[in-house]
Amino acid sequence: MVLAVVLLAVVIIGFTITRSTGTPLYASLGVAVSEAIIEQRAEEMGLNEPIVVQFWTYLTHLLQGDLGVSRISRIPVAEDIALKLPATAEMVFFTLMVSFIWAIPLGVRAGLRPDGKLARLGEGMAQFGVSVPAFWLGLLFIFLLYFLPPRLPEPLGPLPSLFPPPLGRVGSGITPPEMVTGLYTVDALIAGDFRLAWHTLWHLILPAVTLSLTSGPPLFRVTRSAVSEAVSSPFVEAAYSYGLGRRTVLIRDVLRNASPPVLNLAAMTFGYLIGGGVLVEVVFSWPGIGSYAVWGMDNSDYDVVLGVVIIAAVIYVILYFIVDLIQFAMDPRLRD
Amino acid sequence: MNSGQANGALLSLSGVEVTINTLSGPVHPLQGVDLDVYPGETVGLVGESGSGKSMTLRAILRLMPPGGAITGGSVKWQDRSVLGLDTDELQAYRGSDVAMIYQNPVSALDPMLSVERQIVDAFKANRATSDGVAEEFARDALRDLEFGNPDVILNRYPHQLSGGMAQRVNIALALACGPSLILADEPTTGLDMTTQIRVLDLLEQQVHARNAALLFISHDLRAVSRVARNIGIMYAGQVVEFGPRERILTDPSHPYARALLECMDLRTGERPRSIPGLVPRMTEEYELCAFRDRCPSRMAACDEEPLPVHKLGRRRRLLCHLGPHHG
Repeated sequence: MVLAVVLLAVVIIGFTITRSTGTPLYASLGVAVSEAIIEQRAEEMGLNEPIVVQFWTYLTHLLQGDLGVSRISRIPVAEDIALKLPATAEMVFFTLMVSFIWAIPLGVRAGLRPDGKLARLGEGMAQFGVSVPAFWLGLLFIFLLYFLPPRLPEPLGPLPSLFPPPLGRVGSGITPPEMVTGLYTVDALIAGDFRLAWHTLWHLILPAVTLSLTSGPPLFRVTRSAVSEAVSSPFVEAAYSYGLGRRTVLIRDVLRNASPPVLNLAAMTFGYLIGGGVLVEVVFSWPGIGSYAVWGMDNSDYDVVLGVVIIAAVIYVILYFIVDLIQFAMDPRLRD
Repeated sequence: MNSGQANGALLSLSGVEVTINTLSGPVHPLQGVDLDVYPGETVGLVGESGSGKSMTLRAILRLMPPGGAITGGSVKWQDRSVLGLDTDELQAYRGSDVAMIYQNPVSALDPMLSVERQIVDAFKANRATSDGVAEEFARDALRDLEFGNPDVILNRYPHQLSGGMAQRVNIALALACGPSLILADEPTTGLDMTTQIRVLDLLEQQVHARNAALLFISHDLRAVSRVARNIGIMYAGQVVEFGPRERILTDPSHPYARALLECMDLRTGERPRSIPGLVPRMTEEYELCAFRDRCPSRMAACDEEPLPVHKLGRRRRLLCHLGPHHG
């Protein structure tokens, strides 16, 4: 119920904002056309209807799962999103996996041993990650790893031509796996093609590491503070005093009690990256939903922009719902 | 249980010092604590907040706060040095030998775990047994602590318990470890009067039923005198006087103990007074008597010589230049 209200609000706000940014007519027709053609096109696109009627039309279509049609490519928005969302979802998913590998363990360690070496390493990475723009870091990686190494002697030539940087979801000339989930790594595994699975994973690593370094710092910091708060709680000291071991207390009491804020933030990060990873998508030629939205904005393509906004909102809402369910199951205080 | 050591004490603290390194410099909450607890006996420790009562209990369990360490003296459990135990031995000592009941009953329980899970885990941490036996024990333990409906309580979570109920659960938790000594850190401070009395009575009764010893600390002399046979008075990180309850309550020798008694004297019906002067700062290490600035009986020796220890009989000790009070 609440979720429906949130989504309706997103649709209303998104609709209002996209409609207030100017007409898409010139973008779709160019400027060298006569008034009559423009008028005809406006009529065709329903732009002469009152805004409320336009909204009602959009909403009724939306409820039937119709997100409209791109005014430039004439491809239904839902079709494009179905194609591009898995690309972004896969990248964001791996980004979170990378963050779970570094930010959470370092955060736990830093919470337990605030003066330790690993705590300082984590804080250093967090400082670096928040002060560096993601797209720049991505470019830096490509440059350092693929363009900086010296030219190999002829006839091998420059390195990038031998080992092209992994841009896009697959290298040029490689056929993506048959679409099942839209996640290439998963689809390749389903098809039983391990070489292809490895290849798609290879293409995921750099964008995921780039995004993880820049979006992981809050996860590190929240984990650190949640763990350090849990560790200093009286019930942790009490657990030790009953003769429970370090490992037991860490898992049973400390991590359990520290997990709610971390889970929450992980969901937020996922939702944010669905749209917020767009610059990294551009750098790595990733055909994702963020690039798609920017393309829509460039062309005043209302339905494209609004479609992405709504899908991102739906993902947010679903994620929050799942996190709420998990926390509900974990924390008895929420069940009362 | 007892291994023919010299004095037969279960627990023996001697000259225990604790130092905590904080951002604003070292703090010395314990400055030479001497204390013996014998099997099955009930000892109370009284003192103002900051006198080192809670830290004494933590030193016994070697549970130091961040930056804290036991920097001097010895803690012996049945003639074995607690300070020399390795991690596994320490884990075995905690719970099965000494268990603790905490001041704030609700926050001493893990908010995410059911009462049953917590009692079962504490029980199983200290003996090799099955879940079934542990669950049966948990039910019996709650019944012993006068919960009319143990099965309901077992399935509850800490936030669903009142303060008194939570403290009875904490007692059950400590008992579940099967210790020979129970430490109680102001176990009734946050509870209302009638609940306090009930919890104290239950604690005493359960400890005696198990032949365990009890070390009970409180700022409340009345609560301590209700359960303890021997009472120690703490001041500035030392036990300045120790003796049988009757002696301490009627005719203590240390000027601080006398002042404390006057403050809490209920017979006169007057409003409680405070002891003039400032509470000692524990950032200092006291070579001389820490009470001398507030002491009505200050003498020349107090400013010159370190505190003498008067041993008056088997269980009476006094740290004061005045010596034992007569009359």
